[in-house]
Amino acid sequence: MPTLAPKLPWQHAFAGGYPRRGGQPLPTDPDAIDYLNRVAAADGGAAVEVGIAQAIDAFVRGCKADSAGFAGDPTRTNWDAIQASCIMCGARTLSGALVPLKTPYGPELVNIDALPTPTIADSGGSAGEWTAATRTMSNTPVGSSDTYPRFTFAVSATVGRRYRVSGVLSGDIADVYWVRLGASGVGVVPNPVTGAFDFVAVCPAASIQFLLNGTLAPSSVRIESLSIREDSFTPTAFGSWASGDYSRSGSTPGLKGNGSTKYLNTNRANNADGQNDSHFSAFVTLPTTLFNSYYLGAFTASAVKYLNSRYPTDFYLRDGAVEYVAAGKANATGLMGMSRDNAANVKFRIDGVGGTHTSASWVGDSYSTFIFARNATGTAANFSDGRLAFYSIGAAIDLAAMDERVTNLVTAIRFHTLTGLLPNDYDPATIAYITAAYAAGGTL
Amino acid sequence: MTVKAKADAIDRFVRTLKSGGLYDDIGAACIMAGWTNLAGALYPLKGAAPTNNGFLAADLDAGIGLKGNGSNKWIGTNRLGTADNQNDVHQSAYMSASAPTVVGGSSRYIMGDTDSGNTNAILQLSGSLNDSFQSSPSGSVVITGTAATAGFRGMSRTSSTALAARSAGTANSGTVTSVPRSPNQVGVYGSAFGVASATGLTDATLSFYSIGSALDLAALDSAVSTLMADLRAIDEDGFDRDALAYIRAVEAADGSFLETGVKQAINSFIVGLKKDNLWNAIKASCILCGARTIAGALVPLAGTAPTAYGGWSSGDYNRETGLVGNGTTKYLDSNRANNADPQNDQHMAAYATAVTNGTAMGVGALQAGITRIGRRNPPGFTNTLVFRSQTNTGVTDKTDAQWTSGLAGVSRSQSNSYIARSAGTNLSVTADSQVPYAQNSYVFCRNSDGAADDFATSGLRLAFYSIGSAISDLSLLDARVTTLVSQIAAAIP
Repeated sequence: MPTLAPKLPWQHAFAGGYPRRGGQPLPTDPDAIDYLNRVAAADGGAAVEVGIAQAIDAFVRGCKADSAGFAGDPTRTNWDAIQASCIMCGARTLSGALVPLKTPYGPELVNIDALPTPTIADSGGSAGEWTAATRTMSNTPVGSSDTYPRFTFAVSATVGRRYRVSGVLSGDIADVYWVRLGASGVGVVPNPVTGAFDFVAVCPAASIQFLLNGTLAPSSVRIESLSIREDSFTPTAFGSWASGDYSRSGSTPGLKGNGSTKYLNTNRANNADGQNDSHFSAFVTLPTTLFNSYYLGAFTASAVKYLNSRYPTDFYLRDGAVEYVAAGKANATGLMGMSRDNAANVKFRIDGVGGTHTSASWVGDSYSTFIFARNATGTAANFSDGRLAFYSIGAAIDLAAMDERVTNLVTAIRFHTLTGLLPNDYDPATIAYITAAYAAGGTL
Repeated sequence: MTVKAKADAIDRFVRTLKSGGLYDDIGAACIMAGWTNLAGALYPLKGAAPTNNGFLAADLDAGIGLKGNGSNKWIGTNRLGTADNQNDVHQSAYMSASAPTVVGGSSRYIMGDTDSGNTNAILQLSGSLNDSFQSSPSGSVVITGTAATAGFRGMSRTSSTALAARSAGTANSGTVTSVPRSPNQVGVYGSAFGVASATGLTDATLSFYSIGSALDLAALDSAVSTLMADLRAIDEDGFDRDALAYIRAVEAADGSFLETGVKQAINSFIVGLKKDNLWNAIKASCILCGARTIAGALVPLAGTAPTAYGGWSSGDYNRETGLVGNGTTKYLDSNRANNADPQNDQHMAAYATAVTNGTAMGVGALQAGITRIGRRNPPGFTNTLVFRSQTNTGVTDKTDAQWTSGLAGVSRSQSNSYIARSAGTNLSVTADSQVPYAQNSYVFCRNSDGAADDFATSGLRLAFYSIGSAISDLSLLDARVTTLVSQIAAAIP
């Protein structure tokens, strides 16, 4: 096999092998392919190398093969349990590293064929009407307000969570003043030609509202399509992250915080997962050097979940009432996290060691979890300057199995970039040995 | 593809260990071959990273591992002796090259730990070729005759009484009561003594060590030996088939593996000879350097092996410069009859790395129709370098009467003249050929009608000789041998 074949972009025409020169396996898991395609798009169209694609494919397959060990759902796999997650290594750019591992939009909340009857608010002489059979909003009299009538449809969205809203209107499109989630704040104006709208917003109320311009009456606007899906998987980067903050491989791959301004909002509310069915984790490749800094955190009156370094000595993990103190583990690397499947205690894992810790669960709230800092009731605080290669938030999970998969993933990516070899060809122990030796300066 | 080949070999090894149930028994291990630098060679396959005590980059050969010096270089494994139960423990190492100091010297430890009068160690016993596997002072298991032979050695115990040992493919066991393990680390290239010192250091070349709980030594031997063979073979990728056959034969005679650089020099030499159309002309030859022992040096590159007479000993041999005679009794019978080559189609050559004055016959057979290369003193000759090729009448005096370091040789391809070469110069000599003498040609003297005669003085040291059919251009052979000797010297640490 040609030496460079493992370094070909996995979408390359010859990535699977040259004619009459043998081949090499490409990703086949549909979720892995979906993720890799989205990463390639975020990376400016440059797909990752076959070796890295293989590592990601193996990771996804492995997570699907690992039981989450959740008594409430014995069929749940670790892949099922992962919700908001980013692999922050392997991708060619920072943009690619912030692509969510899983398809970023949750279940559809709208049944277009059974829209609820809207609440109609009039003002300035408007007289809004709703025709359910044709999904048409109309207003006949010319009014004095350009933001009335307002049609408000109830939606089973959760206040404080992030949603993607999209759809298409027809008819008097130019008469639509705004479309917005909830009944307050700024909305968007549909495309005046196509009638399409597509935006992401934090939900202020469990509804979607269409505002017609009453001064332009008579108006008739049909809702051709409407989609509202939770977007709790895509992080938002705060603090002006730059390409220099990101290392796709090397000895310490991942994204490095600066300990002062840079953090990620996961957009995953801390109550998005069950009070007694949740997990959070991060994979550290370079420990923070700051006392009382957070790799991951949600910290409000009703939700406390965090990975907190008390550099240079101890490490604290907490989910609920009582924190677990990992003595002397401030410099721990690798996967660390907690998983809860009951109200009384929570499983923890750090530095390759797991256990169970007594800590009553808390109900949680809509504040999202931050990475590289803690979300202190809406404000980022206690920033970390560590480097992370992965995080995940979701339902209860088997942390030990997750640790092995993420460790193998990160190591396989490093192995490929250091040696140019395909990780699929080697036992994980071989990969770990050679990668670590290379990181120490060794060469074969 | 060398990186992939090495990674593949290591992966096969790891998978074999896992499938054989050995992987989990290994608590600390290093693969010291395969890597091109110390950072890789001393990175642990398992367990804590070892501490390097004195090894330099020049001590590492990617093909065969890390060479000790027998005085101050050793590895601290950072694996405490007490990390393993004294009745459930193994330690092993793979020796690529034996320690020349073992015979007649002090006992040399391959690895072990010593504390409070107790020693658990693998060592080469002084004054013998025996390996000892000790739980001292309780006792030991000895394997005889293996101490100088490359290969795996290890000891394992599964009880307080039974001790199993293995060395270079030979197994033995005995009833030896276990003794407490050291609370300090286990050493390699010596037996660790205290926190940061070691005793009985060896200058062997090692390519692997492991420490852990009891295991199947034969299975580990198989896995490690396969790995080492794979890693050595990677550096031989593309080698000439005849070069490989010769290298294997030398290594078998030596009982040790050659350095990668030495093998490369030999391969380049043979490939070069073939490129110059010289290979087929060489019918009897020895490279008298490079090999680790005289036995290896006398492995024939071509033809029949020579017979050594006169009690040659290891002190007569230097790996970089060759074999030196004593001027009185020591010589080699090439076992190549002077008439084995046609009357008008013959060559003979020797490469000297140190020259001598006085009567000295490098290679030769003497009688009517003789071929010889040598130097004679009066009477009759005045410090003249003498060349003859299938004649007893053509005697040529060189202006420089000294035997000069480098290649000296003769080659005849026609009936009325032959070419003589020394000091980098060819000289055409007009002399009719005669029916060849039927006796074997000798090296370090001449064969005078069946008797060794005109011995080279002890100052003459030869690194190569060859006998065979005519060579049209002796300068080509000169260049090849000169390069060979130079590269071998550079490759030997």
